[in-house]
Amino acid sequence: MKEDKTYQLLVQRMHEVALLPTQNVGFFTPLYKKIVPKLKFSPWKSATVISVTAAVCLYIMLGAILVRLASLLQFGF
Amino acid sequence: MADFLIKTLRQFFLFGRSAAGCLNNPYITYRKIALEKNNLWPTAFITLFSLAYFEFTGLIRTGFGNPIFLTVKFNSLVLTASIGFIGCVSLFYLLGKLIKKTGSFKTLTVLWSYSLLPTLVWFFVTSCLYLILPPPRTMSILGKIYSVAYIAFSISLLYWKIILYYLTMRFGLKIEIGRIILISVGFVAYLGLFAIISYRLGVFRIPFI
Repeated sequence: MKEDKTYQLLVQRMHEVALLPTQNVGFFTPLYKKIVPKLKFSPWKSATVISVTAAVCLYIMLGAILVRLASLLQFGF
Repeated sequence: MADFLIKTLRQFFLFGRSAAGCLNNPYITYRKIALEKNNLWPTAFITLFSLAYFEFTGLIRTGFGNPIFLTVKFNSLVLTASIGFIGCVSLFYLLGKLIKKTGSFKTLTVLWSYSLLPTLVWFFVTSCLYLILPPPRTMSILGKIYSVAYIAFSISLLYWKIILYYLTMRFGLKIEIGRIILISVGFVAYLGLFAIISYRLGVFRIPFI
């Protein structure tokens, strides 16, 4: 039985649940469970999409202010 | 001596693997790191990278011309960043105690040091870009494209940082999202105070956290 992959996965999952309390965010729990896997594995994919979209939206909304913000941040190191 | 060198190399290789894991599989990697309770090697490597960055930024800002000023600048950067780091870990630990969840201080230290990776990348890249394409940006097409790209890059690193912060709380203190939000209120207050003080002292314009 110890060689069984499903059994090993179940044991692994049991340890995970035992280590951390389960997440419960009320009404948002289904949404939470939908979003979180995207953050757990290869989050850089969602990061790329979100950051590019956010930057373009910010440019459309702020225009020249965004250019000034970029300059300001570049002085910020 | 040879043993120590081999051990350091091995630990550095493992650190590199974990650092890549923080980018690709942060949840699994943080889980693994949290279980390796007594390994402070990653903190040592990240401290070395941070020191290298402070030396680099000191050189960019003050140049080789004034070694005394360079030393003062380096020391002030190191001191302020150390206070920021130790302050953050202590705050997490104390707030964890306050909500009756005591995490290990060592585990919190290691997890939080990994969260310095996006910070280091942002500061290093910004410093290099400052040298290659010095600000201010213009309103030309190239200036606008550069600004949008730079802001997108900054947002993506902030996103990464937030994920690592969340995982530090989750695995360091073993708490659920409600309590993480509670602790975050205290953390944001501390961050604001640290940012104002380090800005007023002229050490960091953007807090190194």
